[in-house]
Amino acid sequence: MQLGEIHRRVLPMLQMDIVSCLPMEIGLHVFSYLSVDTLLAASLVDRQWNRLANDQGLWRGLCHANKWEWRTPYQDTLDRRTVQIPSNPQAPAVDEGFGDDEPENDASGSAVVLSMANPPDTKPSVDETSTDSAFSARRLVLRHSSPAVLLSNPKLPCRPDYKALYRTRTILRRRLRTSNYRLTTLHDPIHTPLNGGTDHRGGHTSTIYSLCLASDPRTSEPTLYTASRDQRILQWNLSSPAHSRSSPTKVFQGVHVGSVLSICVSATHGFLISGGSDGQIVIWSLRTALPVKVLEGRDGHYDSVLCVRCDEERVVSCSKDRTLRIYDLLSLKPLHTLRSHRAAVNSLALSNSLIVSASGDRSLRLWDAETGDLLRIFEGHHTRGLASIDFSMPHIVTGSSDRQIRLFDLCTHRGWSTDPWRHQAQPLSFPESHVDMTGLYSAAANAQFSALIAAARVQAGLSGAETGGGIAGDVCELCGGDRRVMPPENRVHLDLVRAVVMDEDVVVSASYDSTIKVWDKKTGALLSDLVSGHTGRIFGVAFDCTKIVSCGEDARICIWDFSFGLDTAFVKL
Amino acid sequence: MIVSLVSSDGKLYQVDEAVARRSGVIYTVLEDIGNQKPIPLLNVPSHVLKQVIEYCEYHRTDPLPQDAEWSGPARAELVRRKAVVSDWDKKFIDCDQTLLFEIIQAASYLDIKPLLDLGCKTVANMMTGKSVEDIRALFHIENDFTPEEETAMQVERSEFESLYNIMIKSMAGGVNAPVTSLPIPGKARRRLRAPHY
Repeated sequence: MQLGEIHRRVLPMLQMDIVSCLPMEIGLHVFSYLSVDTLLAASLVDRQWNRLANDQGLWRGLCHANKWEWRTPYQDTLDRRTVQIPSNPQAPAVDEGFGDDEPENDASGSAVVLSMANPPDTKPSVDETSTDSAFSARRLVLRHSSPAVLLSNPKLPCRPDYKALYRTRTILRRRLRTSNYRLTTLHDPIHTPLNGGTDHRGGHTSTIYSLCLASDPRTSEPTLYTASRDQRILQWNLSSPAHSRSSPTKVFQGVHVGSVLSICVSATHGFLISGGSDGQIVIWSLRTALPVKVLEGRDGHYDSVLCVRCDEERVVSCSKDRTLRIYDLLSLKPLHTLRSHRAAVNSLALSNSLIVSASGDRSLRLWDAETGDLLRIFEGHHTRGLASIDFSMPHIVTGSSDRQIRLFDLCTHRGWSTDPWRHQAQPLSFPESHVDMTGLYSAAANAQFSALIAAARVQAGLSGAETGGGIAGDVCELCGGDRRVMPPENRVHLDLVRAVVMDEDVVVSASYDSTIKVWDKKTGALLSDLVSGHTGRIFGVAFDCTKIVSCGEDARICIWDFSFGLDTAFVKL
Repeated sequence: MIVSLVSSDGKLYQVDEAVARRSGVIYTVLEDIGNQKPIPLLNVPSHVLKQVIEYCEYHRTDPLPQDAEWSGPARAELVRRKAVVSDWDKKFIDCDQTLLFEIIQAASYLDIKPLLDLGCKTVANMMTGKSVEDIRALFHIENDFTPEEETAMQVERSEFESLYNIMIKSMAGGVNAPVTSLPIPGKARRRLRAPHY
């Protein structure tokens, strides 16, 4: 304890630099309790503190607490690029049109190389004014880089810089929550001449019903799939520069004989799954764009397939024929048919081996995906049929034909709604009100439901009556507690809510009123209102940390990009 | 069983074995060579050892932290959940900076993880919410940055403006703003029919 002794004698005052005097790992331990704000202040104190506060481990912890992962950009892109430049010297710097279907062959590969060519310690450019210089540097690489330059550092060290990741994610989230975006249209039939149904370069020729964001399983490049009334599904490479995006990279066609209404992607199995108004469910190979299996007739639905979703093990579909079906994703065999809804099942969502379905009969139902058992029926959440649903245990968010959105927590029975009138008119029937309805559920289903809620509570760190799940409660945030006050018209959807999706922090909804709205997941507060992207009804919306993508009646694909001017190559979407 | 501990300045302390075993180091010593002789603690002076023993006495019945629990993501979770410091701990750790520093050092040396956490948390709490200048004053630190470096870092910091602030702002200016439009009566509202889905 000599150091302490010295300090005791030397410093007459009781102040000392505790952090710097302690061994580094204890200093880091102290810093691990700091909030980001205080950690940033600490990094400005002096050089010693700065070194500590910039520790990768600290920032990795902060990133992981938010489930923000580092993505090492695809290395093979680099190798292929270096080979391709000499072999094809006439290749234009910027692709005019896509001749081939390989997404890596376009200019985006170089963009990725450039972004990681910075030594990992230098900060990636996040300054928005530096966009121009970054872009010109990118072109510089494209035009002038000789293969030798690239080969001189064949494997660039891609050490994760978690502080940069944290900063980038923070900026992205801030932009999402404050409507700070750049809108681009991936495919706009008004500006893109239509080449008829046969030439896929023109994109969709009609209403786009569904879309799905995924990452290429091999390159992990961001990819978008869209499904349309023109009976085709198109794949788009989103990592290519905006001006070369107007052509899809793959076409899935020739099987559906009606509109393709819903799609989902199983990256682990390499499948694209689509459902159409022809009643078919088609499993496609992502790699070849060819159908692997068609589920129809006895194995499928007797009417339009309105929604398909999958997880690691199964595909679940729902249909206008009032049923849901579960298929095994390995054998592609039907497992269960779920019958209970009294009207078309418009949408479904999957989480933790549970299925929730939203139907025109104004109810949503909770099913066990393993056994196909009906676990709970929730009614009275909306005054009209449900059009959309998303589920991430324990939160369920629904959008309805009554124009409202409701979010509730299965465990705490709390939530919010955009509809202040609902609070007053009828009390909400949350799961507990159904417990007494004997005969409706089997004893096994009841036991299963209780076990499940208990498990979810443990997972969420809740105990007993504690309700710290984060959702503010069933107080209407829109009217600040006075439930008789109508929110201003521009603060709610004015038409059917056709799609809802959520993540840890926000809910994104798309409506027939041509707007997309972003809501705070905890309180239901309206954060962003994205207007003037679409001219017709919106049918599909998806988002990740860098963008919201939407599609609809006007056959447009709108990308609301929050990553403009930022290097996001290392952000795992 | 009584265990004898000797501080660096030669003072002898006798404590219950259960109390002594809260220290990972003493636990190992007792396991390896048994409780035969007084255990010399060369890095812990008596005024600090007294404090440490007081802490261990109070927490003698707490479950011992398991190793797996105290590392990796599980630990981060635990830290989050145990963010609340008990009143007794608060009072115990409310001491001058030098003693706090020595307690942290001793907790680290003796491998008493909850005490180390408490000490570190206390230091962290001291600076939470403070400005850079305040932190410098608090710990008597000289600013050794050049003005250029400082400006560059200020710019970087401003980019991080925390999500929390954003949420507060977006809510203040957003939903809870006064509502000016008149409510639409129920009947009229019902007439605005949604199209058939």
